[in-house]
Amino acid sequence: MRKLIEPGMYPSAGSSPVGKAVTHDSAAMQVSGQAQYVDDIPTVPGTLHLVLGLAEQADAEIVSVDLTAVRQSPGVVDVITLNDVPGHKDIGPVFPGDPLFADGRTLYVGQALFAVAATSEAAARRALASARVEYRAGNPVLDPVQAWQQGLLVRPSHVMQRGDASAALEQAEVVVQGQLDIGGQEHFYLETQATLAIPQEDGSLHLYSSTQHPSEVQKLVAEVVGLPLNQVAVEVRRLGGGFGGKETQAAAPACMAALVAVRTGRPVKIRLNRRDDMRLTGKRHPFVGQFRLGADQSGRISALEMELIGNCGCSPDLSDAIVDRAMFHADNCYYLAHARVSGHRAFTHTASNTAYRGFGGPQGMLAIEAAVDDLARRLQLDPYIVRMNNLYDTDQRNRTHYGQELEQFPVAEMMAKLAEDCQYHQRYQAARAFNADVGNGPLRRGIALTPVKFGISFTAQHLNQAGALVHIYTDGSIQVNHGGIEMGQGLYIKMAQVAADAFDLPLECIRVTATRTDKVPNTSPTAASSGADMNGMAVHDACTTLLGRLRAFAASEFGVDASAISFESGQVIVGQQRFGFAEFVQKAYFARISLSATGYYRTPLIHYDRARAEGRPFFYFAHGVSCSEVEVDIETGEYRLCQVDILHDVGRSLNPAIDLGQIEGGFVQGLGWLTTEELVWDEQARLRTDMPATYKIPTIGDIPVAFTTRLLERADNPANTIHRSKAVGEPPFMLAISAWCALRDALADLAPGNAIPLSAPATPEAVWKAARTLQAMAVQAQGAAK
Amino acid sequence: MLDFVLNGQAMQVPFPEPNQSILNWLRTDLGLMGSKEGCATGDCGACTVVIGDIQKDGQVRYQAVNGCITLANTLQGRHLLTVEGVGSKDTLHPCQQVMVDHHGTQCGYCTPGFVMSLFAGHCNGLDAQAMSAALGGNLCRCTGYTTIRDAATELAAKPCVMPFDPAEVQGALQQVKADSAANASASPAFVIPRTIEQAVTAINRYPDYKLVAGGTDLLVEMNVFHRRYPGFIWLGGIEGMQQIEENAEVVRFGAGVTFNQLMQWSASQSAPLHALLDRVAANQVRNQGTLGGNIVNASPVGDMPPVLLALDASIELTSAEGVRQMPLSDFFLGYRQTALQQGELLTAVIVPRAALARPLFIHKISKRWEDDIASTLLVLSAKVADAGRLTDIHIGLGGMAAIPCRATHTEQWLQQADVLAISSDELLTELGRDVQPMSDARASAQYRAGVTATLLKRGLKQLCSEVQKGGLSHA
Repeated sequence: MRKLIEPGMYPSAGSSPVGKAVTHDSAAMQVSGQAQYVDDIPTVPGTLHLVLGLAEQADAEIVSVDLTAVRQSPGVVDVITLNDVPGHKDIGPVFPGDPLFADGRTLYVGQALFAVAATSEAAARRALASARVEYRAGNPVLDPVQAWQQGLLVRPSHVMQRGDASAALEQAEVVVQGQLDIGGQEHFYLETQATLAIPQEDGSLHLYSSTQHPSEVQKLVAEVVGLPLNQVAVEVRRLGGGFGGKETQAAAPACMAALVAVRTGRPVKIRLNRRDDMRLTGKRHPFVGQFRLGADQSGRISALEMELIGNCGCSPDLSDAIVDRAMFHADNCYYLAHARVSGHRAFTHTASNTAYRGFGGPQGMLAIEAAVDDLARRLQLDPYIVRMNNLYDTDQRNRTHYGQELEQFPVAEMMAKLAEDCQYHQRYQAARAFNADVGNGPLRRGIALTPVKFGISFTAQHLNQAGALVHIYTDGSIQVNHGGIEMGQGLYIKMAQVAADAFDLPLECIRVTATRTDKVPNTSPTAASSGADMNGMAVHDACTTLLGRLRAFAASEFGVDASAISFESGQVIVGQQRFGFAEFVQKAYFARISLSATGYYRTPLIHYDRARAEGRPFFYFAHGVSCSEVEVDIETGEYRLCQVDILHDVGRSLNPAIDLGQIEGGFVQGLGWLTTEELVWDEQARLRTDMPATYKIPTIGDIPVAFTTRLLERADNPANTIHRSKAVGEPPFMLAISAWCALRDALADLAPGNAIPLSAPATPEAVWKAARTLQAMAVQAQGAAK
Repeated sequence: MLDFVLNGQAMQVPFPEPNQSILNWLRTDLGLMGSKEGCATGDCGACTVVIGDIQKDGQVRYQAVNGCITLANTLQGRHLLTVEGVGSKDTLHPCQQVMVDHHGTQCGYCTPGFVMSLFAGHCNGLDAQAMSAALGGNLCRCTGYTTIRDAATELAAKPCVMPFDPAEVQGALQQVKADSAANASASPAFVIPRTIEQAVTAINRYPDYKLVAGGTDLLVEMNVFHRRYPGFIWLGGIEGMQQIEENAEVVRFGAGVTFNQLMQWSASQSAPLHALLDRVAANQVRNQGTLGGNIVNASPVGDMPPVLLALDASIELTSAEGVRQMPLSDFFLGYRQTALQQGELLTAVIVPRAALARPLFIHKISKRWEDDIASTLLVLSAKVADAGRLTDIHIGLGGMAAIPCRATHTEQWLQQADVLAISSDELLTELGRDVQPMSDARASAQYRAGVTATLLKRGLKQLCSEVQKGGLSHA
């Protein structure tokens, strides 16, 4: 008989690691360059490298594609176009509309026309240059509002309403009306899209893909190459950033690599270069928000009418759900007695816009925050007061415009607490004094404190499920696998903490291994902030199953009552006896107890009737408040962020260090969206900001030294989540709205009583233009007064 | 064979293919996967490596550079340190340990680059603030930077530890230097002249070879558009071109002087120039990019030409026929076209002391404060006659036209004016006679024109008012 490892190799655990600021499990590997990403996986000789030929025109008829010279170029082994796809040619994730390669007519500049596989990336790139593509120019549509008005939609419009908004607006003492242009955002994950496809001995495929949704890559690859799902395995250890950009967008490169792997029988690697990635893949949806907000003279809101026009690009992708989520968040934290929120999904000739941290929520929230800001300006009130006066409560004003009742709403307390902690009121007055002082020349200061309420759950109900697989080995070490993707957010360490806690073992006993579709199948994407919530519960479920088996074994083996059995500090206590965990596991093994279990979770209570636009789409809400102060040079539009204070609700934190990282990282990513990150297309629909030389994400210098982040204390999630924690991936992104509102505040004294004509992103140029417009208005008003 | 030191170990390996970047070579030929490609254009810093150069005094000076825009063959006789050489996961170096301790990694893809920038900053003795500032060329999309800044702060307080034997490396580098002095056989497709004379000879001998100095623009084009060259003449080995020489009349900058060398020089010489240099690209690029390269590239958005134009700079062009000097203003002919002739090499930039003595105002506008290209750059240099009167007015403009230029019409117009009484609308009109700015992804023509007029007004006022206060000073 095989000899088992000596028991007792682990020190006893202190207390539970849950709630501790444990370091990211990959940190030491990452700082030493040992953490492997897809492009780092050693490849065998013969591996092919795939590069893409991208369309140079949008909405153009492809008259001819001559790839003869490409095929003859040195090192080229295969060239594929849409005609070479044996299975499904359309890889639209929910609805059709995403052909793997252009189909007769180009949809956008940057769409894939063909792919070249060669013995090296350099050889493939050299070959690309000899492709001859002839186009007949089309007439690309770029303006989403125009598209909407012409009925050019990728999906039908949808309305959520309560009460009678238009009647309430008729009766309102004050109505502010406006249009807000909201820019899109490039994900700029540091690791571009990448897949390594390796054909196996039996014709099946193993893929290493940088994807947030391995099960979808598996499905689409299978459909494209014509294999059953059980012959395609997708493995993901970690991503070099995802942010939503690898939810659906990872699939196309993966399918192309898989197809060439099947055709040639050789491993194929594709790793997009930055410019190709920025041109090929979809981004955060630009939106246009048109609103009418009604209120009384005190600033109490009575009604909102809002049209949210999402610029979806050239196909549906996930736009149905994204525009829905914008609509779900058009209230942000404010009770709307009468509301009519309409969502439209406009078609344009750009890359198909896709999931991006917040998933439409930020756009809906920015629109209502702009409206509330406009209202405050009209009434010449401190926007803080208007915000505070319109918050939900958990008593009467506790139902959203889609009918979900708020069980918990700590935002008023959070706003008050943060205002006190960061001296908002004093600084608001100080900004007014600063702006009134001519000695400060062109400098102006602004401050804003804004709230966030973000709904947690996929709004596509079936995605709210997760699986896990937990093995206990005979040395007492435990391997955890689950359906979630580690993309930097610390999911793996949180899962290890959950498992270690379940057995009361030290963290070192737990190893979380790469996510694979052949270990945990039919997974949902790691998206919607759901990773730790859902996978944590699934891991917990698997651990509970194993603990149940071990308890049952202990009870029968030692004849003790179940209540006398416990797992504590690395030991198993059975009545009067104590065993080391490994020792006990070995006893169980010899007694033929299964030491492997699956876990499963589905989110309870959620439902949504889309036809009636009513229900409880979210299991619960996460909340946060932030305060930002800026200094602006109104003559140049330049600005600096001077101070940021954040108070955020993560429920009972699983890992405060990881959560703080998510909050600050989310804020800064949101800051980029609203300030320096500007997507510019020219009239030919070419993206002109397709490299980091022209597309500017925040650097370390953009972040103020005075940056304070705190977690809301005593904040157990009332919903039954894993250890009463709350999701943290997306909600903090929207905290950056305070920085954008602070820029507006800095301009507010230029022409009191007027809405601030500042859209997003608030680039220096945009701030400069807004300042000039306001100054002209002030001059005009002065003239009128005389 | 390429003679160099890799992570503390002397190595001799076959010459890299001449077009290969350090990053590409590390990953494809050496199998060192720690350095990452985030952009291949020198913007993100994920590929940051550290290069050590032996100095005249025998000490090795270490600098962070972007591996993606540095040719691998430039490593001849140098010490390349990659993240693998700093420390492994079980024996972390302090610059790695602080990143772990402060939770400075999330997805981790940018992390090796941060570690290398931290290492370079640490072994150059930077304080906490300077260390953070030196991270401006490392983009992180996950953390929001606060944790990394905390890591840098802690690191700055720690003693510097070399993860290799410095004496051994020093010896190895000296050995290679001695060998290569004796035997000048570099890669036939990668010529490394050691003198200007050798460079000129090489240019004539290999007319189809690409001349490369810092390479921070050239490699971007090569990477993005897959441009390839039969060979290169790399000017980085010419010590004689890397000096700043001063006398009573002029300051003579070798064309190979890097932005960071300039920055060091300007710290005591010109506060406005120093402040501008702090915003020229990021640290890694400033370690490589040269003054000469910034001129010869004739990019409309180079930051140095507008300054040099406003400072009456002239340039020195050397060829087999000899040396000729011309005012910089005659050099730029059209979009990316210059007066440089075949066989000629830009060897120096000469700035008169008199021009440097004039009060100087510089303002760069860009979307992002750090590591961004100018939407517009205004340089104003003038003598103050008395309050409201300026003479010798020089206005350099960048990012406004197809070439860096002077606003000569406006300069003349201003000679007659009471500059304190001029409105920015008037300046807008006058500047409009000098240049018609463009609209592009960085800014609209309207913004460029309007903000440039505003800046000029501000500059005029500042020059006048500061003289009233008794001398030029900048915060």
